[in-house]
Amino acid sequence: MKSTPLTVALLGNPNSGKTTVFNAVTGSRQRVANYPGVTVEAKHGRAGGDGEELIIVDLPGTYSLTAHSIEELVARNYIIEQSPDVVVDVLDSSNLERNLYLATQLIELGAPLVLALNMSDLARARGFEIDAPLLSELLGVPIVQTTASRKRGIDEVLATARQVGHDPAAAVAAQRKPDYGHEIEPHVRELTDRLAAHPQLAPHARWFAVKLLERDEVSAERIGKLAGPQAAQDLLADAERLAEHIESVFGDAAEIVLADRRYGYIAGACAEAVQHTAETRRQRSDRIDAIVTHPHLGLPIFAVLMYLVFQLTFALGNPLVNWLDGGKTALAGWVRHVGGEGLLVSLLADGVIEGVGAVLVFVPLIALLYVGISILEDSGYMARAAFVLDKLMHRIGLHGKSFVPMLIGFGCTVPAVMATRILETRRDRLTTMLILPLMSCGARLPVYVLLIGAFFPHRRWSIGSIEVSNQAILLFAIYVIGIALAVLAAWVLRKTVLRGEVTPFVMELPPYRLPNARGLLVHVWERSGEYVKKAGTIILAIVIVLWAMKTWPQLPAAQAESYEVRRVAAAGELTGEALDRRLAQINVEQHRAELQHSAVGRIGRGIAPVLQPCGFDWRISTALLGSFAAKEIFISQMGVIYAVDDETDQQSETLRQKLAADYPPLVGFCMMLFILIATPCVATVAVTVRESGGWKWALLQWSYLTVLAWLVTVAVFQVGSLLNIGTQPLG
Amino acid sequence: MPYNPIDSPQPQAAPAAIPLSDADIGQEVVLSRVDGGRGLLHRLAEMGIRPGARFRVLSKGRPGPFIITMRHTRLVLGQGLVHRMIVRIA
Repeated sequence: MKSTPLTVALLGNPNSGKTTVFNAVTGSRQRVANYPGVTVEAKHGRAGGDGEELIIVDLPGTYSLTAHSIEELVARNYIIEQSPDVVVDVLDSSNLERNLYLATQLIELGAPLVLALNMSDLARARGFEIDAPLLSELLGVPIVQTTASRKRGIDEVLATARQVGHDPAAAVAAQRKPDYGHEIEPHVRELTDRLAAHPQLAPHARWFAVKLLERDEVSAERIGKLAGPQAAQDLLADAERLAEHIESVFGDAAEIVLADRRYGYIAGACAEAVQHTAETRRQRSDRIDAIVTHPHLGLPIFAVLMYLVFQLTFALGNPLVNWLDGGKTALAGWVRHVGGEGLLVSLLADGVIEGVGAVLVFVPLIALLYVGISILEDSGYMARAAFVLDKLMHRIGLHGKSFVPMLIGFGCTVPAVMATRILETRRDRLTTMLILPLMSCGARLPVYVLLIGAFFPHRRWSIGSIEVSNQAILLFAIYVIGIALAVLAAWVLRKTVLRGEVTPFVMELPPYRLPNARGLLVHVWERSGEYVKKAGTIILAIVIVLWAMKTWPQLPAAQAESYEVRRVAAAGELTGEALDRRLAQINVEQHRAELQHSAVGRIGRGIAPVLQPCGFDWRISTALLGSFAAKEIFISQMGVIYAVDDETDQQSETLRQKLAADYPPLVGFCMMLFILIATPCVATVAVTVRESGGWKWALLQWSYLTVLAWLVTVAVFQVGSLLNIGTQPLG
Repeated sequence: MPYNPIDSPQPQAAPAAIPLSDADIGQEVVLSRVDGGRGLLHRLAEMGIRPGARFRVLSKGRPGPFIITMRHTRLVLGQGLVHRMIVRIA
């Protein structure tokens, strides 16, 4: 017996309930990790049950092991390169033929395999009778029937995995590999034998033979690495000759003939082991589909559901955010009170607590938004929404599926960029990635709320029984402007740098399911965690840098002393309230002088002329610099610039009054526009670099958005000024 | 061969090949061919969408996408695809 725990890789089609199996197996003992060099996340967990410990690796959901997408490549590279002790393939029992396709490829790969026929209850409800022992015999693979949502069959899966893991050779030997028929099989065998002559290729010889016949470039490369360029060249030439022969016989591309044969093998097994009687569950699914995918009702239903998600998020989330915000301010005040003056206290209170805190207070909003999105995802509605939106999205050169990352983008752009992985082609991914920052993320919301509150006093009208508020309309408008600009940007991108046809798409509609609470929680926990991690790492670092840039260079000693001299003089002249006022006045002047002298002040002044046509002065420019770190930092920067006379007073109410006194509403609206469009935050840039595979696209994203922001804001400010709309300060 | 008006079927035209985009809701069709590149054909083949595959149109958008049912599953086919899939009414 091995001393190290066995490694079990979990694999399966999307919608097969693989994640539910993973959660059921590992409980809470899991963590998310990234594969080095690739961008796909893998979760690791441990499972004990009532036996020896296992390490569980959750691989991305895939339909096959062909390298059509990054997920497929990651899954297959993991199995070939890391050779897990056992591979557990999770299948949707109610869609067995399609799900077995992946299984046949795993058998071809020679992986020590266990099949978990998941969602058995659903399959029965849909009229499938599966003879699992017979199917197991036909495929030569151990099969366990599970219903992971109710934790049924999980212990058996673990037990079977342990058995297979302790004698993988026997398990692989028992497998019945798909037979390609008398026309093709001899060629496959011939090539397999030739490949097996190279010891490095021998363990997966048949797999490589099939892949070479399919002209799979990734495998060709790998063979080159393993067997040397000369041997690889010979093998490739052999494969090419055989593939051409197959093609001349069948009149179809070799890879298509092989895929057909695999389905033939599956159909044969299923014909014997699966009976199908009446469907009941499907009918219910169909009835729901008839309504939600209806040509006229589909879009309105989608809009209502989205409205509900946002309504729920903000209605429940805002009180929590306010509460956390109060706590943060109190904590910063307490630190200042206890710590007194000094650089370290300032770093902790003004930098870390105020800066990182500003990000963390939005966690409730993000988490609630994800609850809504996860319910839509887990219930199966998301695929329907993609269908409903496909026509619209197609017009701008995007996919129905592109809307999923766009929706997540309303929460946080970082996970949204990662969600573009569901798109199959690079062009579609890049287009979606480039426009994602135009979805107003959760971090921009507080900026809008602050500015709307400052510049647009609350008014209500009643239209019949419906109450309309100008603030709500403005907030809605800024979201819509973002979407409209995204549409425009996507259209332009598809006409220019990302020219080309939209790839035809095929997508499975999973049957509707009741989301399970545990899965939902795990989902939300992971995604909110991503946001918190961003706050704790990149934002913390940038907050410290910004704080330093705000603190240094310090005023020359002589100048700093002059304020002290004035304070002493004031104390000699005045008493009581007059003295306090004078001292406060001197403090304001000193802090303002310090800020202007600091690096941030200097850069802010430096870029101010560029932003002047937008109606922005050096203070706004300085705060916008901060928003590059994270959008919500705009608020704390403005707070610092304005509230310098009274360090404890950073509450938005005061800030609002000061803003309203200094700027007209038109400038307030321009700030909202600029925050919406310009400079994706550092975290977004970082994730775009990672997901697009280089700096080029991230740079394009950053620069086109910044130029667009400038153009739009200048246009609005100049036209507004000309027409004299909102040019008088309120205060 | 003697003429037998009862046994001899009416000379029926083979059902015309039409793009899937022209099929109606509820119609059963058999796929004849897909006009597309190698990559697309392979991807479809891996999903079991091959000449000879039989499916029913459940829902159609104009110009797309379509929902079809095939082997107990529901698939959404994007509008780019339904124009390239040539089918015969079954």
